[in-house]
Formats: sequence, structure tokens, C-alpha cells
Amino acid sequence: MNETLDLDLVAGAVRQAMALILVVGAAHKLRLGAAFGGIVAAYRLLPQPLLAPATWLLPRLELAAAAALLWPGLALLSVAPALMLLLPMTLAVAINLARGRSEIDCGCGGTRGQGLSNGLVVRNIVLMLSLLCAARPLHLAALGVGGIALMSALGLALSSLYFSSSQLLANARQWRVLVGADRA
Amino acid sequence: MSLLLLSNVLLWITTLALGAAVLVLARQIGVLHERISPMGALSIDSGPKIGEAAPLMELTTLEGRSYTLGTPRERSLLLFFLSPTCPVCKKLLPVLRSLRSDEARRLEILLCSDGEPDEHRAFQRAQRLEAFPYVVSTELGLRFRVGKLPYAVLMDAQGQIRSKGLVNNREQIESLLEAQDLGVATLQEYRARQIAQAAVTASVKLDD
Repeated sequence: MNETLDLDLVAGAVRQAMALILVVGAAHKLRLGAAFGGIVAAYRLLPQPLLAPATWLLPRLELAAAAALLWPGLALLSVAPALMLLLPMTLAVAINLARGRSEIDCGCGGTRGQGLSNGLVVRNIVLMLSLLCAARPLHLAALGVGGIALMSALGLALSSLYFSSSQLLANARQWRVLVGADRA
Repeated sequence: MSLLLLSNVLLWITTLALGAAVLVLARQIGVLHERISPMGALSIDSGPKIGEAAPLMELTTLEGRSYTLGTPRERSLLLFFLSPTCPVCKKLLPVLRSLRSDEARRLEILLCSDGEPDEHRAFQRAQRLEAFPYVVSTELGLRFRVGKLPYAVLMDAQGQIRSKGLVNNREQIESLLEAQDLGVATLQEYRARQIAQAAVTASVKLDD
């Protein structure tokens, strides 16, 4: 296995993990239905007439971005949709943090009761940087069955790290609420 | 070489299993936090008792309108005692705003404080609290024996005090409303009742 293939393997794993994260996020938003509309509104960034279309569009765009990530032949085009979703979402979180409104639900998917935090912004920046590194065409045929298996395993491990970290971020927030209540 | 391959496969299986285990554990901790989180507002037992009628008081809002307390009204009334210098109160203002819009049908919110009215007018402007009726009255705080801020008192439409306590976060404010819905004074009382109920059921089972 040469160096290019190694990079392909890592890039493929990152893309696969990100695709899984997007699918889980989209499923969460679709399951929330109207409640997700409330979460979008709570960000107080979009004017009233745009709220309903944005609520409808966001999970579907996430699914489309996941599909693009799983397309092996694409390079920058594969990660661009995911980046174009992540960037405004991260900005929305940062703006509301700056407004001091960390109480609102993140709506990130997969994790209940997750408010906004600086950790969330850092996490998204890490996601975006790793996506940029994964912007290369993948030669799956050259990887072989073993290589693809390893890639999927790495992808699963990365996504489990992501889901654990977002759950731990949510836990840390709830913990602060509890400890704050005790000090009173 | 095949040993190396075997070791790698086994290590990957272990890694993925451990990853899943960490995720499940983190989730369980999250669920645990959720269960213990709504402990309810800390009830400081002084002032008018729960279930008693609120004292009849004639107050004046910052805008100069009169505001009568203790008479029947259309909706429940949440008295929120705050001060411009209390950081936790400021933290709770977004919660009050969302409560005001979400529970508009059944809940009215009155901001209460004491001190210099001008100071409160500046605070009201800075925090954009014009939508809330805002009264400055030392007597009101004394009547309810408000010692620590932010403090909240919930009255039903008949003017009866339903729940009250020191509130530090959204969960505690919501617990006051929840306590009213459940017909108990505080969520602590509800929890105690549940435990007593469980004990009775358990002893009945033992008797059988």
C-alpha cells in the first residue's frame, strides 16, 4: 500500500463518518417535525417567512450533503455541500453565543438537551478542517476489500468519537446546571 | 504475518466495541442528569403559605399604571423578583421572554423589585423589558419575605398562591408551573409523595 492510498483511506473514513453524522442529524430533525421549526425560530436569525422553508429544507440538504460525501470520484465537490451547511450553522451558534443566548436548544441531532457552548463551535471547526483535508478523489478499487473494510472501521470509530463528544458536551452543560443549583 | 492480521482484526473489534461502550455510557449519564435535574425550586418557607390567598395590594408600574394584586384575574400570575445587579436574574430574562410567549394563554408575568425607580427604568430599557409590567415596591418584597434573588411566586387565577421559591435556572421556573399542574406545593413534595406511595405499595405487597 503506498502513501496516496493511505491518504485515500483516511479521507474516505472522514467522509464516511461525516456522512453518518449528517444522516443521524437529518433523521433527528425529521423526527422532531414541527418542534424543529421552534428550534430554528429560537436562533432568531431568519425572518418569519423564511422559517418554514428553512425547517423543511435543512434536513433534506443534510441528506443530500451526506450523499455527496459518499460519492468516491468527487474531490472538493464532495465536501463542499457539507461545508456550506456547517459554516452557516456554526456562525448561527456563534452569533447566539455572542448574544448570550446559550440556553436555546442546539438542534444538532443525536443528543437531547444540548445547549450552545464554545465547545460546540470548536467541534464544528474541527469537523470543517477535517472535511477540507478529505477533499480528494478516492480510488476505492485500488484499496481492495481489506482497505475498504479498514476505512469503514475507521469511519465508524471516528463517528462514535463524535457522538460521544457531543453527548459529553451536553452532559457537561447539565452538570453545570446541577452544580449551580446546589451552590445557591 | 497472519498473527499480525489477526491481532489487527481483534484490536479493531475491541476499538469499535469500546467506542460503542463510551457512547452508551455517556448517554446513560445524560439520561441520569435529566432525571435528577428538575429538583424544583428551593422553597424557603416563610411569608404567605402555599394555598393561601395572596395579599391584596395596590401597586404602580414603572409606566405609572395601577396594578392590583390578590384579586381574581383571567390568567395565572408569576411574580418574578429581580434586581438590576443580580447576574442570575439577567441570565433568566430570556427564559421569562420565552415563557411569556409560550404560556401567554395561561400565564402573566410581573417583574418586581425595590429601590430607585430611575435605576429600574434604565435597566428596563437596557434589557428591553418593556413588554412586562414592572413594579418597584419594597412592601411587596417584604410581604412575600423575599430574601434571595431571583425569587418567584406563582398565583392561580383566583389569586391563591400555588408555588414559590428561589429560582436559579429554567428548570426551576418550569418546576413552579409543573407543581401547579400537578396540584402540589413544590416538586420536592411531589417526589416525597411518590416515594411514600411506593413504600405503601411495597408494604401492601409484603403483607400479601
